[in-house]
Amino acid sequence: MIKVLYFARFREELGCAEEQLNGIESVDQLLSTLKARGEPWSRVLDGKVLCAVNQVMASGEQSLESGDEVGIFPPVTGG
Amino acid sequence: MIKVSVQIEPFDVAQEQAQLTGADATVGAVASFVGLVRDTNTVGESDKTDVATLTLEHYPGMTEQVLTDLANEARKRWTLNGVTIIHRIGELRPTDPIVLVMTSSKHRGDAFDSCQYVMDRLKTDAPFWKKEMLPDGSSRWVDSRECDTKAAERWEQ
Repeated sequence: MIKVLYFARFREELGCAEEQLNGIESVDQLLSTLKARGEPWSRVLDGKVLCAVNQVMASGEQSLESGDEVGIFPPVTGG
Repeated sequence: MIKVSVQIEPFDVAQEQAQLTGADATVGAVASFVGLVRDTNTVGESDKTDVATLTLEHYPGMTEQVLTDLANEARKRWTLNGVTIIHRIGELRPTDPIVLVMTSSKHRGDAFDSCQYVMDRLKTDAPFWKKEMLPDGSSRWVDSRECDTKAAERWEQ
């Protein structure tokens, strides 16, 4: 079981701040699973998507284990 | 000394400088950058001065870690006595200070360069997001800018 957190525009447009998912083994697999849900997921996650695993920026190939926290968010705009 | 703070409250630059340098008489230089909220954003090709308020969201936990990592990386690259990074969250208005980066060193070069480095990397690496509220009650998320990515990339070695 992994915990997925959504931030900023993604959280608002997906109408979801947090969920738990089973059977996900990598960041890429997570993103393709989410996009396969159809609207609004496929549209919202279509552009540039950043992912952090356990609060560290991660690439798509990164593998996931039960208990991991994955943050999914658009490019950052602080400063 | 490294100080990182993500806070709602305003910051006092003079107080932060006093805290950063303290009684350390080896410090000969302090460089600081303060970012302010503007009322202007680029929508399409034109600038519009219609921002009423700005709301800052962040990823609690990750944000503090990224800023601490940036401060440590700056200390590896330059000879520094200290680094302070403060970023505000919550609702802000145009002219409000939003971010402070302050670095101290023996000589000015290290302070100047490290201050710019931390600020450039903060813009592309720290998980903050700005949402602009307009006078008519509508809102829009601010888009990331290509020039910020380029500014951060020039520090890659």
